[in-house]
Amino acid sequence: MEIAMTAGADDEEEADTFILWVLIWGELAAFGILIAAFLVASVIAADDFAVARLHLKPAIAASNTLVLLTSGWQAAVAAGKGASVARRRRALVLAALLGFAFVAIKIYEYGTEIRFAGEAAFHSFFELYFLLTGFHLVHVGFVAIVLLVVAWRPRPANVGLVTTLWHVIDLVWIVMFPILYLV
Amino acid sequence: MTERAPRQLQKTWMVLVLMVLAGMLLSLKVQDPGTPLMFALALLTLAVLKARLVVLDFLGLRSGPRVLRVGLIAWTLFLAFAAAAKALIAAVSPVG
Repeated sequence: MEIAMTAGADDEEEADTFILWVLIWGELAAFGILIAAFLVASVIAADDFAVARLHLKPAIAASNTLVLLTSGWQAAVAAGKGASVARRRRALVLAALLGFAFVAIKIYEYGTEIRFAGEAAFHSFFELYFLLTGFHLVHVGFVAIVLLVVAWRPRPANVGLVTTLWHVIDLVWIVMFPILYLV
Repeated sequence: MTERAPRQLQKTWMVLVLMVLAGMLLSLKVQDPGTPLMFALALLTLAVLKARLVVLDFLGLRSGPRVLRVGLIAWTLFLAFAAAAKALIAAVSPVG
């Protein structure tokens, strides 16, 4: 009976992980298409994109990369198999708080950029820029809240699922940052 | 997904921070109109290396399912190559 229940729990955990990865690949496909669209548009309207990019703040975005990577580190600590409940909880809360810090810094950054978005020559650039970074920002904000919820009762299976999603969001930013701001 | 020692995670985080700082230094040079392609390629290489570390150590896929490890790194490589191609096109036909 006990063996059957354990096997059932294992099957359920495996199913949860499978569904998570289906969701993750869907998200990566969406981000990939948007980033590819940005790259194609930046070839078509190279001059406008080059000038519009001068209005971005790469130093702020780079600082945000540090914030997100530090958050990812804490998420990985929380997912470590030997971690105590208290350590798991502390690491998840820290990861979530750094996620909220990312959101706050990004909103501040938007405040410095939004006034340029109205200029006709920069429409395409800023439409794609706000779409891509906004879509990513919503993910960061939402999953940071989920990290806090999981921190309340940090079951290892749930910690594993939410931190996996968190690292993929981190991964998207790592790729997106140089493409949008620098290259 | 796999056993990850806190000390190893801290080491990975420190390497990632150093890569971000190196990228920040490089990005100052991107403004130089004489050598943007080389720096663009260096920044993209740094991005791929950072992504690889996140996949292997933070996601714990160093010893996890190969298909996920290869798939995630291929996703970053595909976009990095696309961005490098765009930088190359921009270098061949300069702005202005």
